[in-house]
This record gives sequence, structure tokens and C-alpha cells, in this order.
Amino acid sequence: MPNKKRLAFYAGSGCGGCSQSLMLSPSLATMLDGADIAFWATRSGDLTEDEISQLDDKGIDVLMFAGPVDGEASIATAKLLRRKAKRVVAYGACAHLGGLCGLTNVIPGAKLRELAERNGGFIKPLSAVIEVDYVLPGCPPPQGMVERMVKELFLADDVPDVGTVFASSKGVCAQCDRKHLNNPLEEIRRFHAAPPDPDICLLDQGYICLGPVTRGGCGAVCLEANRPCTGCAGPTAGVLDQGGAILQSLASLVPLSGDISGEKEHRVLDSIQDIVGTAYKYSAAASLLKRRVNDGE
Amino acid sequence: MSDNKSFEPKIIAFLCKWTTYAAADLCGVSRMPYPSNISIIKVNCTGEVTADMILTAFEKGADGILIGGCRPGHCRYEGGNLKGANRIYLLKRALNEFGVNPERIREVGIAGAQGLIFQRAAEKFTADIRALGPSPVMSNA
Repeated sequence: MPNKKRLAFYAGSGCGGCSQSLMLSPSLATMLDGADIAFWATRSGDLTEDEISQLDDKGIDVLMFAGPVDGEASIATAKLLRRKAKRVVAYGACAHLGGLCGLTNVIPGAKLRELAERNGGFIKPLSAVIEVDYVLPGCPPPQGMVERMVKELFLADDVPDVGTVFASSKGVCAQCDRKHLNNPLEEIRRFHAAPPDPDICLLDQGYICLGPVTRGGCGAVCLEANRPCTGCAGPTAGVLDQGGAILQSLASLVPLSGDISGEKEHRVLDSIQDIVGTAYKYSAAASLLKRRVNDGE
Repeated sequence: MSDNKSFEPKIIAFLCKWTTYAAADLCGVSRMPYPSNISIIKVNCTGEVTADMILTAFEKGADGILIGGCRPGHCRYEGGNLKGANRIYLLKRALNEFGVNPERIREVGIAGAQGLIFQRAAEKFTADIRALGPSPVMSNA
């Protein structure tokens, strides 16, 4: 093994699924062979700011940061950790995009939002606060991507280019085996009503699936389980706003009735429930609008 | 609502090059002034205007977005403007959820020879956005 790297794992907040995904990874042993652990904090309480301050600047080779940033205290910690680490990986959907918690930025009266506001902020992706070198997307990151990260960060001689996302640049559809029929979207179906055909593209059947606008590399595992892609890996390369991208795709899939009033099309579009929770499930905090605003109404 | 009389709205207009852009051009050559608040981006078709384009405009500080295409049923590309309209329809629902007033986006369909109608539409939209006040999106750091 070439010279050992010092790694650290820090989960500011979030559900703990990210550290689980790393603990359960078959590549964990390989990673630990090639590295020393500086610290492994799965809750923000595991590590105080004083303890972080005592570490050498740039003393950590790779810091994996999981969980969203949600207020002044966590912003300060993130900035401090950035000083101590040569390379920072935004680990998992919350650090990458703000994650599910990011929905509280948009939903009025959400309890978590009150909490975040008390802490002096809104849910933010890590990249809004500090410079992030690599991204490992997913909620939690799928094992294939974890393996790729371990291989590229800990086993290869060269470090990957800054900005590398340990996933595919193509959409989830590229790895999905379902048959694509190019059906127009004439009716929105929902899962509780009837289960979809497991062999045909969900969008063809009228179920909303974020596969076309979501970064692939996960192996389309949700679709194998007959569930739609909900977009945990964030937008594909070159797209800024994942939610906007799926909304415009859905709108374009609705066939034109020939009636210029657009009534028939609007009926289909109106039947989409919970627009933000569907289109921006993980990416609300990383979307271009970032959070709910008060526009004087 | 803004009480600030000196507020000058920034408006981004995505105009179809075949019709509304031509109407704006006609305004120019006919010396019919329209508000300088409007910055025009020429597009091939309003069906080409993506969510990224609209949301980026808001993020960068636009107070209003004018989308000008062919009149419904007269699209150069058969149904591009109607597809674009469906897109805007759905996007407005999302904007509403984000607390942004959907009135900040307006769609118009103006033929290339209707310079006067473009002038009026531009004046009306600028006045309406001025009444709405500055967009709160940009202060959203």
C-alpha cells in the first residue's frame, strides 16, 4: 500500500444513513487498509469545535462530510473543518443538495424550518458554505458509488480531479432496463391506486419518475424494485435545477390537444400533486430559488 | 407592494425570433419607445425556454420575465409555443409553492407586424412589475 492517507468522517446532522452506508460497504475494509482515521463523528455532538481546532491545518487528507448545513453553528464548523482538510467530499444527498431536510425551506410552517431559523439560517447544501472538492451523491450513497469513491480516493496513486462526482454523468434511464414506448402523458397515475407494469417505463405509464433528470450510476435499483426514481442523486451534468427540469419534461410529454386554450393539457398538469415534494424532493435547498420567499401576498 | 417610487424593475424578455422579437424590432425602427427596463434575449421559439433559463433569471435578480412568442396556433414550429406555455403553466405552480408571485411571468403572443401591441404590452408589464415591487428571490442568499 502506498503512503497511508488520513481520513475523517463528519455528520453534522441528518439521519445517520450516510455513515451506515459506509459501514455496510464491502469496500470499508479496503479503505481502512489504505488509511488512518483522524476522527469518525456520526453526530455533531461527537466532536466539539475545540477538538477540531486542535487538529493540524490541512492535516486530514480526505474529509467526508455528511448531513445538511442548517445554521450559523454548523456553518462555522464546516468552515473550520474545511481548514483542516485537504480534500472534502460532500457525502450523500444532504451534503450534496440539502436533501430531504431541504424541503423544510419551502414548506410553510415546517417544524424543522422553525428550528433552522432559530439557529440563524436555512438548510443549505455544503457547497453553498465551503468549497467542496468531490461529491458522492445518493440517499444514502449506493454501494457501487461508494466503491468507486474508495477506489479513486484511497487506492489510486493520483487523486481525482477536483469537481469529480462519483456517479455517472448520464441519467438514471441509461441503466434502466424498462421498455421505453414514447407514450404521451395523458393521465397522471399514482402508486396507491394501482401498481405499475414492471417492464415498461414508468413515465410511459403515467407515473412520475425523476430518472431522466437524475444522475445515474446507482444501477436504477429503485426501478428494479418497481418504484420510481425520486431524484436522490441530484441533477444530471449540465442541469442547474433538477425540479425545474422534470417539470418541463412532464409539461412537454403532455400531448397537445389542438385547442389553443390549453384546457385539456392544464387538467393533466393540475393533477400532479405536491409539486415541490415530487420534483424537488432532495434538491429544494440546492435549487435556483433555494427557499420559500415572501412576495408580498 | 413597494412604496419605493424610484424602483426600476429589471425585466428579462425571452422573445421568439419570428414574431415578438420582430415586433420589438419594429418598435425600434418605427421610433416607438418601450421601457428600457426590458432586456431582450432572442430565442428560436418560446418552446425552447427552459426552466433553468427562467429560474436563473430570477436567481440573478430579474423582477419579471416576459415570454413573447407567436400567437397561439400560429407557431413557426407547429406547437412550440403551446408546449412552452404548458411548461410555464407548470413552472408557475412551482413558483407559487416557493412563494414567488406567478404574476412575475407573463406570456404574450404578438405577430411580427404588431409593433404597437408590443410597445403597449411592454409598458403594461413594466408598470405591473413596478407595482409588485422588487423580487425577493435575489436577497435569498
